[in-house]
Amino acid sequence: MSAILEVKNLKTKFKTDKGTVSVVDGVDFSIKPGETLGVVGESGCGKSVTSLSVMRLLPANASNEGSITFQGKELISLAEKQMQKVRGNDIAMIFQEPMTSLNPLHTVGKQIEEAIILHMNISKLEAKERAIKMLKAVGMPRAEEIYGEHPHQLSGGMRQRVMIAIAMACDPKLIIADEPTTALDVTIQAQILDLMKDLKEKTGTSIMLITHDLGVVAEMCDRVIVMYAGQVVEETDVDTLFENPKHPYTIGLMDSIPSFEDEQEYLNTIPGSVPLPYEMPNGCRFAPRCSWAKEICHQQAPKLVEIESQHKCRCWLVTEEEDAS
Amino acid sequence: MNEKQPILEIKGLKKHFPIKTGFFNKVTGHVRAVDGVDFKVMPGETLGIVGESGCGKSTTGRTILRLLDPSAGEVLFNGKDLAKLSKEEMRQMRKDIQMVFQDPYASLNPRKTIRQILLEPLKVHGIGSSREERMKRVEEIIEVVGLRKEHLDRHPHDFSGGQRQRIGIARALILKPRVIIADEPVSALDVSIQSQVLNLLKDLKKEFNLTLIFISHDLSVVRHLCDRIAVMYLGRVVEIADKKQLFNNPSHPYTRALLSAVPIANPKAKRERVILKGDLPSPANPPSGCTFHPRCPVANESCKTKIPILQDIDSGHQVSCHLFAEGKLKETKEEMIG
Amino acid sequence: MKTVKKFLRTGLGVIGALIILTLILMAIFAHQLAPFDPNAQDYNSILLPPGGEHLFGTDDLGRDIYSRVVYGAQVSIKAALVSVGIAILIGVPIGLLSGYFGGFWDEWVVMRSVDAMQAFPFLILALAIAAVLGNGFGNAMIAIGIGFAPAFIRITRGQVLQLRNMEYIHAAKATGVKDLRIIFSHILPNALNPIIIQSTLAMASGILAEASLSYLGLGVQPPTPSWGSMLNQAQTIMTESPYATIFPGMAIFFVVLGFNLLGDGLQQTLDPRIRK
Repeated sequence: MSAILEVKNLKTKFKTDKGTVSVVDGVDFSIKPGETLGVVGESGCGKSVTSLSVMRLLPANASNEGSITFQGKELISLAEKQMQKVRGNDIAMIFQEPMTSLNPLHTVGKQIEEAIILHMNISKLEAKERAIKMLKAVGMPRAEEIYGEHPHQLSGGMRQRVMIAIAMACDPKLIIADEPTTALDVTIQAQILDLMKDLKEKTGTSIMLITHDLGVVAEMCDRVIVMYAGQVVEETDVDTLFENPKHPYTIGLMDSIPSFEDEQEYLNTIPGSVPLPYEMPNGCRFAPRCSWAKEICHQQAPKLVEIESQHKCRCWLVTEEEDAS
Repeated sequence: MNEKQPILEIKGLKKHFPIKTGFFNKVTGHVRAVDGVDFKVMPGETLGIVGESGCGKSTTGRTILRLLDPSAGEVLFNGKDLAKLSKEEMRQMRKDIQMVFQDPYASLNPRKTIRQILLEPLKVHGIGSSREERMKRVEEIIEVVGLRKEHLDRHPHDFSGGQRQRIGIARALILKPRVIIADEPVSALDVSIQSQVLNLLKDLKKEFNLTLIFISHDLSVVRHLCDRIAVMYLGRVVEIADKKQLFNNPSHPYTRALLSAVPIANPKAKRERVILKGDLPSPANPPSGCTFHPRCPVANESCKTKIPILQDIDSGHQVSCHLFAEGKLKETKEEMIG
Repeated sequence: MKTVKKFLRTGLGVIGALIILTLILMAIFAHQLAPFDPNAQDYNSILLPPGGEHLFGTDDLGRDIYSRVVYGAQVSIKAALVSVGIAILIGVPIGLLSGYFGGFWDEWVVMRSVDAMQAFPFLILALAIAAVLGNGFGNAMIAIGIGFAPAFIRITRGQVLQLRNMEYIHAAKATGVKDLRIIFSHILPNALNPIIIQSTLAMASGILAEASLSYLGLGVQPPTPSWGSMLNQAQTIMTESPYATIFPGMAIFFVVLGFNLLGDGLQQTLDPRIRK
């Protein structure tokens, strides 16, 4: 099954007054049709910028290198007019803050219709019908009434449903969801995650789910990439990620979450903090914080290597271990 | 029966914010942020207060400290009612009860150095008989929270979120208070930094023999740190129990839904999820009777009209629910998942 | 010391300071710097272009423009500093207290008064106050200062309203810091930026306002030179001799520029977030 999205050696650089900074530094991944790929990492790892690169929604001082192919079409070099046909239509995005991602001056219905009218060749009446249908599909109570209301009249959870409705309005093949439930209360989050799973099953759309919450990853994702300091450090399916994580950062991340099941006196921590983009260490970027780091880790940067079937890792310790065995 | 006296006892605490509309700012309603909260905190205990947005947990914390004046109720600190003290008397009490704030980026004055920020509490309360003594205390406390003397002459913007939160903790600690109220102290931090700060809090609690009230929406964090936990919904405490009781035997329907909603970091775990219908109602217009009834999977007619009160269902375990009081709610979850 | 060093690194701020310093020195040493008596009229030398004895030329009464500009500095700089000084002394404390404590006095007394004062065109307001106070430079400055005060009240109050909800203010209260100390030690330093900007703008307006008042007989009396009044008087002879307007005009331009740059430099110096 060929991938619907393929990202190869993506590099995203920003021009700042401190010079050109590489926020995404050589990222590879792919998403198959109907698959949910989790992109996990903490702030500053480059996960959001990666998604904006795919959508070509970066600010003027940013530049992209590498290759992003969607259904075989190369997106990086696509003309802006062509890219506009892709956005909202084939690839849709759901943002984190439903407060600020919806236009406060337009009604909810109008915002859903906007995408429909832009990409689909149907009449205004048909667009309205479809918009209401989408609102119902995302479980919005009193869909016809909500159609005419403004975002500030809705709660956070309802607004996020509207965002999902807008994203799904044109039957996209890929949805990029950037921390879609982080700003929501946990009981509302449960509703939204449930909804997303449901829609995914019904429409077979692929999802690129960006999050820092490993619980959400466990629930929603089929495969996962872990990002650190602008690079992918581990890639595997979700079961293997939780049962047999290999990269020290992944292991550290899993360990530092207070477990709901066992009792711990102290939480395991990862000492130090993420390096700033213009202060990247030589060698492995995680080495300064890694308790297993060896000499080679500080000197040479490891590459992302397939260590077992469908499991990649960027770490000298792991590749050496594999070599040994 | 060795009954220790609670260090803090909250009785019937209410905080209503008036809603003013119209040209003459007439009061047309109230936001009932805190609507009748009762609990006790024993010395040396860590009490967690959990709930979602609008439940009133932050407002409760601020009202206890008199950053907001209570609309009704008592806040008994070692027997003294903080709610009735004059402004000046309350100022004196602040030595003993301090707060750590949520936003590390907004809780430190950007124009002051760390040294100035930490000296201020000492100056205000006249602690230390000389400048040297105060300086020494500042230097001690900054190291206790894991930073260095060299950091004292920098400004807040030179530090990361986790470091700023440590400074906030140092500020709260420097007066050697008996009680610290921590309002979502790690929510704004990355996961790997959260664990650092949480470990620090655990250590400090032991070292300084603190009583800690830990307000959070994150159940896993609360479970890790707290001895007893109070669950709030729309301004009221719906359940309060010690850690084991709450997590092994959550009783209130809201608590059960809340616990089951937390995503588990284990793809193979079984999820018996109680999905609540609808949204959180607005505290300005709470539902009648039991405020949870519109979303409750097992509500009945009387829930719409009668307001429940906290009642003991076990030693140290209280629940505010009619069905429990009437013995109608089964201990199992099946009824709710349905 | 560190602050001075930081200021010196602000580049433009230093230029602004130098300009102001030059003009202040010019005002103080006017007697030494001016070759002629600024009020000495010489009907043999009217409307001369710049050159020779008269560096800037002469006006329609034969007075040396250069000397008048130099002496004019005294009036104009005093006008700028005194009027803005009064405005700040009145406006900032009222804005701070009113914004912090709120309530009836803030909403209905202070703000409605500010609204009422700002409803009048500035000059009319200043005129009215000056008329009440009487003639003379000092009274004119007070009038202008009072006229500027509402803007300072509004700006300061606006900052206070925003800042008093900042978490670090709550933290200060939780620590037990008294209100007055919170206002002056926590809020004021963070509220400075717009106040500084407003001051530099007001300096410029102050100079021009003084000119208008003097022109109308309520400030400096002729023949005492002030740049603003020189501008006014020279309007009629602009076609015959533009120099009488150019040089005082340039002087005003430099003062305004100087205060603006100084203001920028001060903002940068006082903000710890801006790295050295």
